[in-house]
Amino acid sequence: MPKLKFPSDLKLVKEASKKVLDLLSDLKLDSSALFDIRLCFEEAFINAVKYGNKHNMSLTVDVEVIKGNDMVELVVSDQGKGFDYKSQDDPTEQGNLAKTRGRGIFLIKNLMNEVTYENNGSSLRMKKRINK
Amino acid sequence: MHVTHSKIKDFVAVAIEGEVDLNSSPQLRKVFTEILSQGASKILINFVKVSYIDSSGLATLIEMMQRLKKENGQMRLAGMSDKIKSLFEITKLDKLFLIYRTEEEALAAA
Repeated sequence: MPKLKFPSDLKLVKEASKKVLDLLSDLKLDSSALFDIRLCFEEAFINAVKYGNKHNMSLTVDVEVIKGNDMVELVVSDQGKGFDYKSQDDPTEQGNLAKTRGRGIFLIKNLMNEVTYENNGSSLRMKKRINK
Repeated sequence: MHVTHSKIKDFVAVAIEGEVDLNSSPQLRKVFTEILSQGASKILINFVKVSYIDSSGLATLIEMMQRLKKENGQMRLAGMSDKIKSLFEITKLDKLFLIYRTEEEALAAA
């Protein structure tokens, strides 16, 4: 299973997602699945840099890419203390619609088929079902 | 990302080309601030050439719309691909923004 490590630098988000998608290129995924996987990975990477590693360049964002028969699984981990992932506001509630934060995790939960937090929230495991 | 704008009827039409994300959002915010400082109150954003948007891009659009609303202005969005439109639907931002299929429809709407 390929494992990647990136310094906590938001400028690397495109490079990181390109590397992840390159690892999936043999699966010949359709453009919609690629869009979802890229978006969810980039949102997770950005959260790991900003909120997990707090932009500390000496800390890494670790990425694991697992290719199953009918599933792509990504694990994005930071070196932070985790967070209270159970008490996230729903950005689609009327009172939250105009808020400018909180949509990254929401998108991940909606575009992926399975999302679980590990290590108190410092690791995010997300699975996308694929049709080969 | 590349952003151009032109006057169409009483709208400033902003055409975005490329990706609206964490790294390009400051550029979009800058263009928008320039347009607002020139007194624009009706802004139409054309998404025909937008290939990708993330939560930062969505947040930037919300911020821009709120600034425009404070000036009693209005923002319309048009020309989204099905994929990008689906992100507005999932997040229910289609209830917050005025979204039209094409630029022509957006300009023609009352």
